[in-house]
Amino acid sequence: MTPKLPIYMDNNATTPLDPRVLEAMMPYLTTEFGNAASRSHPFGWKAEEAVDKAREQIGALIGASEKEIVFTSGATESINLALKGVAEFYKDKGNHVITVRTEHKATLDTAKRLERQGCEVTYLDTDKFGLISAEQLRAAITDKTILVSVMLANNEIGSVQPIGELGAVCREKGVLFHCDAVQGVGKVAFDVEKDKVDLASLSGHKIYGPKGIGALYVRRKPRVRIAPIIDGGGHERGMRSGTLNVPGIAGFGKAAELCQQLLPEESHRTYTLRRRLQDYLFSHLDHLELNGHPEHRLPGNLNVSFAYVEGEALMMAIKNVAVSSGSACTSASLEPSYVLRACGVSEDLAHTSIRFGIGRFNTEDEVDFVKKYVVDQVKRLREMSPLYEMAKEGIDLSKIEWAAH
Amino acid sequence: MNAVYLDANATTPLSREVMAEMTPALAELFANPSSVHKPGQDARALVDTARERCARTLGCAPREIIFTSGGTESDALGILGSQPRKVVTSAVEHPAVLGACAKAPECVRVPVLASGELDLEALRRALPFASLCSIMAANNETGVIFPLREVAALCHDAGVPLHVDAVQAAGKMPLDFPWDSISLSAHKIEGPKGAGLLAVRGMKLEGLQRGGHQEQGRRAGTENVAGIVGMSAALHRASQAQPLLEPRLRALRDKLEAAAREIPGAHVAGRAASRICNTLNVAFEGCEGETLLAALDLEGIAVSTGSACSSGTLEPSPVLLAMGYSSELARGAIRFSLWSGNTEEQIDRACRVLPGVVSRARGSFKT
Repeated sequence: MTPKLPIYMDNNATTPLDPRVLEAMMPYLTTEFGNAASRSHPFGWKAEEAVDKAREQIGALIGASEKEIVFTSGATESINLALKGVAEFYKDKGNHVITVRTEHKATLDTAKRLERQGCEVTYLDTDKFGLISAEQLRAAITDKTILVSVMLANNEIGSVQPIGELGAVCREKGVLFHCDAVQGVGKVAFDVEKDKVDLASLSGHKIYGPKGIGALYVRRKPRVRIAPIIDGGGHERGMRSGTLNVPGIAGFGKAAELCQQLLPEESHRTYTLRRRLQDYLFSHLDHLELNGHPEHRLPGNLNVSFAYVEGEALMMAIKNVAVSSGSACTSASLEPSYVLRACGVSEDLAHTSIRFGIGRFNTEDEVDFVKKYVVDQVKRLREMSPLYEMAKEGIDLSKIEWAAH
Repeated sequence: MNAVYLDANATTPLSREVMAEMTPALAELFANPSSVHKPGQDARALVDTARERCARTLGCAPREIIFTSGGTESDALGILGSQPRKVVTSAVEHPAVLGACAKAPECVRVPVLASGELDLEALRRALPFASLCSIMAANNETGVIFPLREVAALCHDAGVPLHVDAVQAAGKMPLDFPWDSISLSAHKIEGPKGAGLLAVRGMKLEGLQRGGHQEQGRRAGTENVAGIVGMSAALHRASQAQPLLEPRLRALRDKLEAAAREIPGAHVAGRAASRICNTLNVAFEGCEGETLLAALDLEGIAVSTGSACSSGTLEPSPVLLAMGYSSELARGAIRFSLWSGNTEEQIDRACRVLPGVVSRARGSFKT
């Protein structure tokens, strides 16, 4: 049976709202509309109760206490707040920040901004899977280092960093450790205590919650301080002012609770579906490259380079499947993915990469449709490709001297 | 309990019509607007339409609209994003504006008169060499409207761009004054929480949050599509409803004000000034505002002492202190703020219980 088209398989860009999440939000979108900061009437109290509950749900998902959760408008804000907030607050202690070349733009662009404001930033190179090692991080830390920022899982290639080992190095060296946990949380194990994380950025809409809501975990013991970006009103213990988005927060809380409940089963299910897709593609097509680590990766993420196919042409050819050629944040640009480039993937090959993000609501039928559809379309495109013909004949394309034109 | 909600300046219920417009974005149109595939482009279309609609309502170009997470972020972006060296503001602005202005290297807070009106002469003197002036359209605590045409003329003469915090004015008065940038919040006009906008004309802005191309690089982060749709629907609806709503709320507010003034020792803030139609700030001598709130709550009437942001603190309102109130009188102030859902019966009920509530509060204050 053909599933309903187009099939959404871009769950690293955003996820649909889980109906149970919307249900949890509904009271706060209708009758319980109070301002959580209103202390003088039940409308405000009920809103505050909802916010407190969500703090506990989100804290529970990452092993934090509810007092350590600061609500923001999303992960981009959380990451900006973590990096700028630490750099500003601890500027007398040092001015060196360490991050990784394959981080999300929210981290890299914020780091660039810090450089303009006088910080020194080290961008660690990764191995071909997009991973760094504890030794590599240890070697980069200096007596000026105040912050290390490493993502839990990469948004494009799905590789999962050894966060616990990196956290241990930071703790030993007395350096604050921020983890962009947006893509990994709810999908792979993450615990701020075990992983020795001091700050962590989270997003609602990547875990089947609403858009426009995120959180920053800020450790209390030992206490981590940050300077706010948005000031005035003193909400969120002065770290983030502004009327709380109560329905968004209630939804985010429910989404976190569901992730925690579903985590082992859902990881297994999305892993199985991803392997079903991956195994079929790799057994029916040649000249494929898996991007990201074969084992240490998000269960539902598959990033593949289809050599000798033009990436944009492939996107057009498989338009019944909503997938992405990179991250959504950079998908409007025609530049090859900087993440793949940092992993040593050639520009040509990077252009042929497709990211499949399998999520909670994808079915086996959908995966079976997609796997055959993609194989058919890639074969069709390759039949029209003289480069593929040459490659099949054993000609090494990199050795060819093309005529100038 | 059928409580009467008279705290609309803190937040308003989400209108059903606005919710209905938001629903598709919370369900099938959930994709990331930055995704190039069809679902992504469908989400992008929602954002584009919302932007055009807000621009039409505000009389500006779509590219001049920046969607944000709310009024506080809009104020921070409008003020700090312009990277001002010297900023001029008033003593009674919302904490979001004062908080942002405090981060500028130099900040002048222009005083208000006892009437609650802006000291325009002091403003004129403060403006030279300023890089930005930020003045609210209407005060959140007292409802006093500032004369933005005159403020804008002074700013124009001094060559200083004007940022207007219109969060409390929207829906309650026409937004027909001049501005170079303007902050709005959705949840004060029966839209969703977590959504706001900053409109900017001819001013260069540096984004406060980096890491994506969204909002032309001035506000990175995945767009809150449902919130953006809600913002545009709420703004459109508020501007359409305002001409009819304003006289209706004003009549109800005036009725409540008359009842309050019959109580001896009542002081209405900004009574002689022009005020938005829905706000009544009244201080009762010999009372604690907090006691009044608790007593009103027992009667099923939800009000506040001032801004929700400072709710729970026992500090007297800085707005009332700036108007020359004594700390003691300022502590006896409560704010009634009305919205479209309030009925004549509800206001009558508030009028009926208010004298008893005040006299009981006075009793507890003396003991």
